[in-house]
Amino acid sequence: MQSSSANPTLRRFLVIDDHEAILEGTVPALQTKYPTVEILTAKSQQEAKQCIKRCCPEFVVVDLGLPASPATVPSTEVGLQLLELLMRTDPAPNLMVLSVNVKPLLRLKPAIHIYEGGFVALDKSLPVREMLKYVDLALRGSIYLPSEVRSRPEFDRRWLEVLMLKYQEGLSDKAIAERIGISDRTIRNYWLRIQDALNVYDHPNQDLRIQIQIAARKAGLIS
Amino acid sequence: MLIALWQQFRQQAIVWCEVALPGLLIIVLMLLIRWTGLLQIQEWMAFDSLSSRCPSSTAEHSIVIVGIDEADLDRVGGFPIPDQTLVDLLKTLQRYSPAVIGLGLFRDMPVQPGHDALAQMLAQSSNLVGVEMALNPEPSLNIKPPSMLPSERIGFVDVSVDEDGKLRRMVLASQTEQGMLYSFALQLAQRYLASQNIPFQAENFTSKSIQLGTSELSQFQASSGGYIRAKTMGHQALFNFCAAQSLFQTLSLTDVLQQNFAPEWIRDRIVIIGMTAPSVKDVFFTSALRETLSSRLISRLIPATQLIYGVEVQAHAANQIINIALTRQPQLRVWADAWEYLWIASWGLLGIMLEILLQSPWRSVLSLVVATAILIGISFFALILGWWIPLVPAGLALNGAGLVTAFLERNLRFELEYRRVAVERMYEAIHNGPLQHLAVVLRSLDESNSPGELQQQLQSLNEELRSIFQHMRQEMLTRSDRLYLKGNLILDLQAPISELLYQVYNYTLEIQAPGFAEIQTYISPDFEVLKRNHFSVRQKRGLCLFLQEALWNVGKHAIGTTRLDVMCLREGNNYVLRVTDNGLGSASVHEGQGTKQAKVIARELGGRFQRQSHHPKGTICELIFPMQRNWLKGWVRVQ
Repeated sequence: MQSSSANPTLRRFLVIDDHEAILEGTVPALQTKYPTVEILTAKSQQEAKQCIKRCCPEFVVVDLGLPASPATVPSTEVGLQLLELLMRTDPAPNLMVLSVNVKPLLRLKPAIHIYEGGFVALDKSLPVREMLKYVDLALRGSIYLPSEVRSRPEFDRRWLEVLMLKYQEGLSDKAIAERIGISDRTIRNYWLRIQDALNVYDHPNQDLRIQIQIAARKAGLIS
Repeated sequence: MLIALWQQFRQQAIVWCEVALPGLLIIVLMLLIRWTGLLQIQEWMAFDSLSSRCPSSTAEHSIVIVGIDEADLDRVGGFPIPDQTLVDLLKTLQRYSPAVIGLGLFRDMPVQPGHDALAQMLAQSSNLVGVEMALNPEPSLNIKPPSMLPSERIGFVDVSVDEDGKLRRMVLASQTEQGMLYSFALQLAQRYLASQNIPFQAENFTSKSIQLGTSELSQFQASSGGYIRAKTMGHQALFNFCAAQSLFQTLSLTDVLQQNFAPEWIRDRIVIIGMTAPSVKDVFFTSALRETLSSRLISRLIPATQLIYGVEVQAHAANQIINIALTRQPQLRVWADAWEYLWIASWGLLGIMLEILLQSPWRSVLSLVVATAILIGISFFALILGWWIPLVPAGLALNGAGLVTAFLERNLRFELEYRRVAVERMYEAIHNGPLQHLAVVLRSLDESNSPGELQQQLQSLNEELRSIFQHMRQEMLTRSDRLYLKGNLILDLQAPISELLYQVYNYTLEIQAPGFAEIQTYISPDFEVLKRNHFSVRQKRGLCLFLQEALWNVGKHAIGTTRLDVMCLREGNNYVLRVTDNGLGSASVHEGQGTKQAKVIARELGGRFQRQSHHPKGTICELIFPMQRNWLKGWVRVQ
């Protein structure tokens, strides 16, 4: 399931937004931060689909309010559709959703939790500087959702399964991935997310997995 | 016990009366309309139309028609036929010894040559009957019989035609200034029956019937069958065309003169001579016969109304009299007026009863269609058996009363249902909103609550109650499909089920409740699995209410819960919506409104609801219901 793009050496980002002003603000900033990356842009769902099919971007920035084709009126439904399509794409790109209203993501939340790639949702009004910080988070494979969508400490059932297999059956990551039918990349990201959800932070003196086990036990996730 | 039953019956009877009354009025209206005679023509049409569908008559005919057609007229040089030709015709016929010959031609004037020979022949042949027109009140419109025939061998051919111009009855005899006159058909039949040794008493005319040997021919009355206050002239009888669906054997003048026929066609039978040429207008209308001599030639041009030659009418009349006398066919009988009106009213009542008993709209319409078909069937078979019973007014009473009742009954039922739903929704809204809130307030009273906090909670309760009223009023006005959750959250039930459930999940968990206070981990549900199923608005409402109630129970009772697991998944062919907590279980065995509601929802989804304790502590509350795959949608997706 590793990236098998036509040109693996070249990293590509795709920015999808129907507003010229946003593109003008975002694209140069990204380019400055990631000088080796080729940055593509799309202004409608139609255009974006072609682009995704053609060049398998590693990272995609999506606006939820998007027109289906250049001539039509933008709608959130179109953006959500595109997002769902992106989440089914193989290899799974890391995603960043920029929108004035992130609430519609609520119903995609279970899918986001188990998504193979990183997923970050941000309010569009956030300064570009702030936004760039989160790009790294997405590229790392983490999940970040703003407070409107993430109102409580949630834990996905799949992550729970990973914890069980690890600490009650003692399986290796590879075996767990095989058992629940996910890729190595996904399981790596799951660990990141479990770590975030349990508020466990990397510390040079501590064994991360043991720390996770302790936290999970404390939270009553494993017995 | 008996009194209770009686009370129940009375209650039901009152409802029925309310529903049935308009239907009864329709029946009365229908009886009145029939009584005024407005439905007479429709009833005649129905009668004709049923008669023409009767099976063909297989009874043996004792009559042969000698029809003088256009070809014959060409041969003898046009109308009228010369007396000499008639003499030749009669001589030829007599040679084969017929029982009786009816000369159905007006011969009041001599048509030379051969008049003397004809006069002599008419005077001497005792088996020969002639015709006249005698019943017209204006003497100049009557046509005299041939002068040399004795009066006992003369019959009139006057007819009585209905208001729609069609022929349905025959005049048999009439009392005039010259004494009792008999019809041509009756004269022929009488002589024929005499030859068969069946005495026919011309004196036995009562107001109701005529004696024919051992049979009785019932007389036409002013309100017989479909007739309402008909003018009756002399003694009449109804034609039973249903029993006479076959053509008479017919010979042309040329056939007879050239002796081109089998002798047994003539021997001991009735021979009626008449015009069958379209150029000589001796025709009547009827639509009760499938086929007449005339329709054989021109039925394709005039399909609806058939022409029948006068001679054929006389043949039908004579044939019917003979068949009844020989009891070969039933005569057409009718019911007394009272029975007819009772019959009509009964069908109306049947319509009302069907609609009260069968409450689904399509079933009630179907039942009316079936009942109408049965009514037509009954009328048809009765006609074949010789009974003419009312069809059109009965059908109208059945359908009119039935439809009015169905409409009112549905209306009343809807109104009751609507009221019930309104009350239910109201309770639902109060139960799921303010009552829950109140429970939290009461619970927190034990703990040391500051009066300010309590006041604030009561204030919000107050607002919530007010908003319910506003919401309910709006809902009743617009009848929109919305679900009132709490405060100002109103869900549009047209949205996808997964989205609705997420909203319920999120909003319910935001409420401050003791059970939610210590939760560290929420294991989030994935409602997207329900996407493939089609849910009605009612079912969506139910699922939302269930989830809300289940979460609320955790909030209210499951103190100390640290982990809340909401699960939505597919297990085999079932969906499971499961809420698991690890707080203090509620030991209450009391079945509250929430549990009742959950059971109702489960029943509506065809599934089951259960609540059980979870090991080591906590409660599992789940709703299990079967998948209802929308096959069409599934198919489209496959495509």
